[in-house]
Amino acid sequence: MDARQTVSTEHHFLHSPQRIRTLLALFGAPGAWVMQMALTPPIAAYACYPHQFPLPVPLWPGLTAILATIGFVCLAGALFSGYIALASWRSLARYSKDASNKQLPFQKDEGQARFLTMLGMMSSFVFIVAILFNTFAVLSIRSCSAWI
Amino acid sequence: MAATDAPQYRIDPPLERIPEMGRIPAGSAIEARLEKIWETAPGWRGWLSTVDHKTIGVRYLVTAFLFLVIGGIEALFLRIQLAGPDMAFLTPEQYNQLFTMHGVTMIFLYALPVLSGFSNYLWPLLLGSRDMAFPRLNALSYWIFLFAGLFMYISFPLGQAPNAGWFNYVPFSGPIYNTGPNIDVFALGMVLLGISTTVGSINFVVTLFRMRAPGMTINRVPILVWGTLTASVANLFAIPAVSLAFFLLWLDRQIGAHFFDVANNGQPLLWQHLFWIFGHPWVYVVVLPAMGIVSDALPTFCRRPLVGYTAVALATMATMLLGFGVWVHHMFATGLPTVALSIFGAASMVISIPSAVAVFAWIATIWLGKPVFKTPFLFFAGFVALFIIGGMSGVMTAAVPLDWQLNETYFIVAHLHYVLLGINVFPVVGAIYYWFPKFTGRMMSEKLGKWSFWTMFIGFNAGFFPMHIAGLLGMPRRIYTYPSRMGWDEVNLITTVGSFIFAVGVLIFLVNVVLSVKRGARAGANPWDAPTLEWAVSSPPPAYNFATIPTIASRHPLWEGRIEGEEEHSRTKLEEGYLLMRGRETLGTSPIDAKPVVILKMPEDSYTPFLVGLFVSLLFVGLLLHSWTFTALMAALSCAALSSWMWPRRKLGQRTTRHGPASAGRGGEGP
Repeated sequence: MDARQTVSTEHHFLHSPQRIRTLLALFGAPGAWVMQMALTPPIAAYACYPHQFPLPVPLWPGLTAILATIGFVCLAGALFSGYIALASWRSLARYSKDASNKQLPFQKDEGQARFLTMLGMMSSFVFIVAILFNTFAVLSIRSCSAWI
Repeated sequence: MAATDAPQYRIDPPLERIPEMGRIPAGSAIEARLEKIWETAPGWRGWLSTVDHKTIGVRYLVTAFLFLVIGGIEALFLRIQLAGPDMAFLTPEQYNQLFTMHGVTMIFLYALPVLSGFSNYLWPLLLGSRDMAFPRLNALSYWIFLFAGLFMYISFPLGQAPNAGWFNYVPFSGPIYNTGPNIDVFALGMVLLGISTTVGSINFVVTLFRMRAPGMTINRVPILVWGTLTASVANLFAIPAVSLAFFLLWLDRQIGAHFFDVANNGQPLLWQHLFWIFGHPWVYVVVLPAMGIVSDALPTFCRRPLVGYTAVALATMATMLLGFGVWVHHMFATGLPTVALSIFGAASMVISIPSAVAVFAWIATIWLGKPVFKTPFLFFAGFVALFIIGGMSGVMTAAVPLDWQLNETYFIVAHLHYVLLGINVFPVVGAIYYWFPKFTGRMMSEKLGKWSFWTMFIGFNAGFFPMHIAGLLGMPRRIYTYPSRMGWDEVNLITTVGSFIFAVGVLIFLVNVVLSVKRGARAGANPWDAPTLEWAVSSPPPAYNFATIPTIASRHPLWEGRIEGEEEHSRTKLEEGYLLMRGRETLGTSPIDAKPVVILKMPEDSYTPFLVGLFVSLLFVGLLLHSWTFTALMAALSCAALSSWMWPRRKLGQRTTRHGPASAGRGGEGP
């Protein structure tokens, strides 16, 4: 066999703009969840325990609204990521139904696009649920500890 | 469009080379030459200098199992002490040291190293490579692990072992309440062990993204590889936190820093945050590769591919990421604001979603397959049952009000043992039964195997399930004895009996290993008719792994043609591939789509990893003994050994493939 047939300069996966869509679908929702986790507990902690002593009420009256806003913004980001993942999946599905299409993306890239798009959809689903849980967790309790 | 996922560098013409393609017949002179290139020198020289991933993997496994046995014996001593009320088998201080060393041994010296053993041995074989990305770093990782383990036991015979629990809470572990060397040994030992874990993790990450056989695209990677990759990435974020925590504690104890000293505005809770930011991800680090073992090996005994490969791969990664957002559930009783408790409780519940996805995938694989009830299958099926029980009690403790009731009781001890033994030890023992033929060329006894499984399974549940009841009855953790009027007598006696039955099961397993190494039936290359690449080579594998670098066309290269709908248009090429034999060579591929990029010149065996490991470990001994001259000398020797290791060598210049994206590097080791 001629090595030239096997060693190729073409790397089919992650061509722009599909690259950006795939990365967004994969990491958008987890990134939004990380953002929510990185912002909400520290803000809540500072509002309720700014120095050496805990407060019975938050430092800022609008703390719940601030935390809820963070939650909804992160949720919007995650939903957008999920939408991109779903759109990519549907686009792949349309290609696969078109029997006349000689350039099926997942034949050309040996199934990588389909795999990564599916990962993106699942990832978006899990982290949308995680953000929803966190947002409900913020809204369903009083901001500062009642027991200290 | 000509975009690639490999970096573009200027080609250095003298380093350019087109690799030849061809076959190497078994028993041919070319194969003998290849064997000569990759073999390790016999005797003690080879023993100290080898960088063969298979040897290092077996060393990890053997060392980790020795630590498992030591930790298990410690547990049996603890259970004798707790078998009845008002026992005086151990003194309180002995009990403290034993339960601390039991935890330290099992969690740090057994649970991850044993998985590193499997991954070290199997990764290049699973990925179609000839070695790990950084063979010498791999050897260093093992030597430091071994020396760190010995270091942490250095004060045990003197009755000065770590005694503040494996989580080592301040202020009890601080200089005021713990004046002996106990905690210093633990603190320095953990920093030392952190070096081993970090370099090992870097090696795994680079190996996955650089060393896969051509055609092993990112969607064809075995789940074990996903599990170890995820755990390795997590280690790179988690280990710095715990190394920092132990270093700060050592500074508090030795030079009078006040990081955790509340009397001088230090923060005891800082310790808990730093420790559990590491500690909870660590739980997933020690279970995800084990889950990967089951995901890859269980389908062999169900005679069908894993159901939901993509979902399980995603579940692995999602579990790890979510695992970084749940550490505060170890701190629910510390008085943190309710918002924090609520959010971390919510995240702790969400983590059950990806875990459940994996469980349903395994159950569906068994349900839709045709199970063959061999010993490895029994261990993997048992693992699924224990995973469910351990997972359920985990979700219970994610609820803040219930956690307050259960906190610091034996319920938590039961939960963590179901998680750590159930999800680690059972898959690991099943994996030994599964891969033993590959490691040794011999089968293990099925009869003894089934005896070991049922004894371990019954003993485990008899030993650890009653701990849930003890916890619900209010029995606190870490007490060295209890009065008879508390109503805990029966559950503790049953637990002790169960733990001894479990130990007998482990003993039967070890006897089986020893007998089978010498007298087991001969195994062929693929005795289980398994689908993955490691079974394509002989048992045990040759030093070079693959005579030619294979080209992979599916997720189940050895089951091609049997699975409906799986890439029928192309076939994996195992016999014909790249001939790389101008010294130790293997193929470097692009990170995502595994296209050939570079011929990697792999380093020869070397003493330097051993010497660096030895000198660095002795440096820590110097710190422990406050011998600053000795410490400085060891630091100098470490630097000298490192310089020798890193010295540029012309023969390690990397060869680019003329038609691949250019990537040239010189010197160093590996990619």
